[in-house]
Amino acid sequence: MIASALALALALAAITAWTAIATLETVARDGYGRLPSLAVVYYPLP
Amino acid sequence: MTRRIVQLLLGLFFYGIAIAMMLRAGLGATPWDVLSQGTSGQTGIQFGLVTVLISGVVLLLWIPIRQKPGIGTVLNALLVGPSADVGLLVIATPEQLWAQVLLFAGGLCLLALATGLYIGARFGPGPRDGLMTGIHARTGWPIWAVRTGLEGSVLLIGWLLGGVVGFGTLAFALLIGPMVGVTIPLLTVPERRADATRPASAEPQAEASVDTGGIPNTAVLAERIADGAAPVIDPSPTSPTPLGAPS
Repeated sequence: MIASALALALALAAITAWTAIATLETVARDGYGRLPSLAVVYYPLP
Repeated sequence: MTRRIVQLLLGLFFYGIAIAMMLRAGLGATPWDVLSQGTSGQTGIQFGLVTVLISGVVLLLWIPIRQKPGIGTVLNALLVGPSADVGLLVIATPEQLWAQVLLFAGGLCLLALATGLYIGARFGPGPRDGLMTGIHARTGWPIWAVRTGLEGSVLLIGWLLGGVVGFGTLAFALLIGPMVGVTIPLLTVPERRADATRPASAEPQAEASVDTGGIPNTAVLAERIADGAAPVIDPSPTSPTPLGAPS
């Protein structure tokens, strides 16, 4: 069994990753709640 | 294509791990996982194998509603169960409540990310998603009614079989939709950029023929934005599957 600490670290990593994505999407939206472009988010990814 | 395949496989692997995290949290699982859990408890068959078998039965139900599975559909049916078994093998149930809540929340976030990855790979929805959208398409019943009916039924059966229903089940039902709504638009792999040598008159037709499954085609839209032809992307992220539904 993975030590509880390691399993919880995985949980924290997942929460952080999702929060980061949600933040990116929120920040990217304009005043009308629309996404001007997702290219900024997509193209740096491999 | 390589990116899409890698994304699909990573998504399905993490989907199974996320299921294992939520199960190990012991706070209640998703409706379909409650069914798998209950069936596993009654039969003694490993959770992952039960999940694969249920996926097979669900795929059989696609036949009368005339749904066609994609590569992603088949791989979803085959890979999520085994990866959940891997997760169940290595992840222990925490003793403290706060740790259980943290593990569940992490599993939920990972599930949202994994769903964005495999749906965003554009290889087709999972068996359960396709069943819901297929019934909706064939009968015209509202998607919420189809989803509620299906998931309510499997939840009840799973609970009667001994699956764990709890706070986590409710949290999943309420939160996973908005959470997946964030990840799908950002993790969707765009279509290949339009060929620069293609006549301009051919572009609209060519793009119209590309099935994005309702997912925003980010590359094409980005190109149009650069050209000043399309100012924004539709604010409501859509997907070929009802958001929040399990695989």
